[in-house]
Amino acid sequence: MRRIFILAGSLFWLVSPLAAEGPADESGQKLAGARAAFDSGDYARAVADYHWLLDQGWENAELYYNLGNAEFKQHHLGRAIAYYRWALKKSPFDDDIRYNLRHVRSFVRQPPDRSGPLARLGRDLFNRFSGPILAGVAWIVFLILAILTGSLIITRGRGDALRWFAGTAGVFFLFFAAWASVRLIIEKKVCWGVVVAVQAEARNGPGPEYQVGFTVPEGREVRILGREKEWTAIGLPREGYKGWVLAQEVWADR
Amino acid sequence: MRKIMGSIILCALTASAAWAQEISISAMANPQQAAVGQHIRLVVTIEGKVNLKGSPRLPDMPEFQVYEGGRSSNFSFVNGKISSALKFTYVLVPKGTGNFTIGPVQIDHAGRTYSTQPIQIQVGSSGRAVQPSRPSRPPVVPPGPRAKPPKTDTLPGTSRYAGKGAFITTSVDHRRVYVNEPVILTFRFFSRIRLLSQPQYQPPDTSGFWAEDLPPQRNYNVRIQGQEYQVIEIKTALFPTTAGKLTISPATLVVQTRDFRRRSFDPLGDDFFRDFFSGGQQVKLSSDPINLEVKPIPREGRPKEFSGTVGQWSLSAKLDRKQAKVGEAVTMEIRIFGEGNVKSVGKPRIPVLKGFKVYETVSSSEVQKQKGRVKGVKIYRTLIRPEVTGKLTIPPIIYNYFNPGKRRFEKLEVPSLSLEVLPGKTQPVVVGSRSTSEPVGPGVKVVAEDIRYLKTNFSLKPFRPWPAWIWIAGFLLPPIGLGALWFWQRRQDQLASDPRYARRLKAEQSARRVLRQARTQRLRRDSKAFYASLSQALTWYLADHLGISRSGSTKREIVQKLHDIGAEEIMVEKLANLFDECDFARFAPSGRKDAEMERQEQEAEDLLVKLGRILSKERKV
Repeated sequence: MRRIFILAGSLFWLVSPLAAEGPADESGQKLAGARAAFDSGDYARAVADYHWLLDQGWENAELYYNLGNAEFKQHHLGRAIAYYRWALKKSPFDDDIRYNLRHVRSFVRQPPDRSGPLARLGRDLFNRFSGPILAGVAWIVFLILAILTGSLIITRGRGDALRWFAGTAGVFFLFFAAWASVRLIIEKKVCWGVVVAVQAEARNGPGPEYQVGFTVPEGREVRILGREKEWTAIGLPREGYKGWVLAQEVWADR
Repeated sequence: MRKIMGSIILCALTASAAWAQEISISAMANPQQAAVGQHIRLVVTIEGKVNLKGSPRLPDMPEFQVYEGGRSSNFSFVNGKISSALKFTYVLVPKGTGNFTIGPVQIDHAGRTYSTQPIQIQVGSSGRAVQPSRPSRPPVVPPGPRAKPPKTDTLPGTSRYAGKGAFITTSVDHRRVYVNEPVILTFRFFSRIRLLSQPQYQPPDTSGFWAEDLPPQRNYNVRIQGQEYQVIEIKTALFPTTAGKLTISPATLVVQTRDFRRRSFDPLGDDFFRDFFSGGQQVKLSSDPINLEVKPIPREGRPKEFSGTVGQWSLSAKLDRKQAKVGEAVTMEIRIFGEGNVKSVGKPRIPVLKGFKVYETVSSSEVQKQKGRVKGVKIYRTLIRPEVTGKLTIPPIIYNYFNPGKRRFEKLEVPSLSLEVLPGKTQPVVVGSRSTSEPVGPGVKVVAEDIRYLKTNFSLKPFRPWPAWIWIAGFLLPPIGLGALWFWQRRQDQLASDPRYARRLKAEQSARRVLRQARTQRLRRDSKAFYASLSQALTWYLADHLGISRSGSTKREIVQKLHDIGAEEIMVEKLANLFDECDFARFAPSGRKDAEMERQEQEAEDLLVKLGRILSKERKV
């Protein structure tokens, strides 16, 4: 399935006018400079170079991944996690991104998961694929279903096996379509973010005059519930806490 | 090259300082070839001390009438130093012809006797022109610590300058070298005249070379074809950086000397004030360019891991300790020392170090310049951290270089190094990594977990998500395609089950095709074929619509059928007439006119349209 996606993406890329674009010389030099800086231990310069490239419009998964690496080397766990998350959104099947994200997450203390194994498995499975990926899978199943239905029309409904396959494809299509729809709705409605401050203080309201209710360590992934001026409302679903933190202390996924 | 310039100045100052402790005496006769009765000016110059008492002692000169020309003191600024000189001028008038020798002029100072070199004078007969010659100024070398001069007349490129007051030369020790093999460039400044200011040195252009100056400069005197010169010698090591024909451009030196061109002969004249205020004459001296042939490093026999280094080198390596704990930093030092271009010594390849985390390597170099050679050591220090306990071994380090003297590649090798690694108090802490010793599979043991490296093999392309219309089209096109397929299938079934319907559907299409054929035949003026086609188009069209056989249908049958369905009489009559005209034209002996054929074709098309409407209406009824 991954190959199909790559193939489809490549075909789209080939017909796209963007395929004619190549990296500018300066950008190429900047990319090489960022790598050299990373290799020499100058991670701050590497981050600056990668940001420069992002500002030039070269936004892609690889740049976010490299940014995550450079931030992690500076012990900026929150920023590293945020960059890896963004990279994963653009390249969901990249094993390196998943590995590094898992590794960095392991440095962040997570709340205990009190749900049962089945529920955990179901939740992990449900969250395993993003909405667009599931929509792509549903489309492929839909295409298979269309081909099988077309074959049934041509053969005037003859052939039991064909009918069975078409029926199965129909069931699969409904399953993936439903899964993709729910995921897409959730992704549309629910926004996540990462705490990038060493310790973010969550207050009871959007202002310094409100009392600090709880603190959140760097790297913790939180739900973004709302925004008001320079304050962002966050939620910790597992603990059941909600609070307001300074907007610059949390990097949202969008 | 500023260093060289500075060195020249320093050298000249040093020499002046040394001479200031002593005096020197010199004598100069001008001209040295004269006629009987001609005045010869003999100037005795004493430099270094001006508070002399007495006068120089002249030798016996019975062949000359000797007159005293006076005494003058002279100050000059040479090489940044103020020096003074006493000049005693004498006028000699030869009494007869022949070759005479003026013996040493002597003076006593501080208990020592200084004397000049003898001067040869050639005197011709009276009234005969005698070839003038350059004045000789044989300097007296006072005893003192001066550089040992080379053998007279052995310096390269000096013979053709013999007799000149000052000149410069450049030479190299060899002209065919390999890339990065040292070439010693020697610059020499020869002078036997007094300089009025600091010489301005412009070193040769050594583009294509890596240059290393070789201090100190040498100062000595040489005698070239009987004339004594003071020499300043500067050496530079050049390392050619590219193969091919390279040229060392000429060096230049601008000196300020006395202006001999404006001097008029005045045996009693004193040119002190004139020299002091005139500034003298500026002379630009230039050496010859030098061509070198630089050979590339041979490809034959070149080791795979050739470092690119040229020269004669040795190798050593060591660790700064023999025992360390896990996670402690250990420095591995690799020294490459010998003769050659130290600064260009390539980095040795560090073998894969198992059990270590290797950090970046830093380098430093120490250059020594001794006896006209460039030597030194290049040191590479690499920080390594042991990550596992036990006796760890660093594999042998191998270094390949090219020896131009032996014209072959040579291999240096340092035996393996070992380090005893003890368990640390704390686990090794590497930024962002976590140590573990848990086995993760058969034979696989994770030493330390860290993030994966940067992504390097990717091109800079901005991420572009698929636009929404692709998704919409992707989900809409298959149902549309399926619907189209269903309709097509249904139509096929209908056509198969109702042949009359199928004929009727294709009636107009086939009639039009035959009419196009008729038009072509009309344009070819084939009237018989034209009328046959015209008749066929009408017959087929009506037969398909009326459900009768194409081949078996007659005009009469068609007309009858049209009457039966209630077609207009006029139209039926027109059709019948057209059929008749077609039949007549097909079997008539004479040809038809084009205009008539065109009219009939148009009439047939109109009939097809009108009859088609009537037949459609009738079918609906």
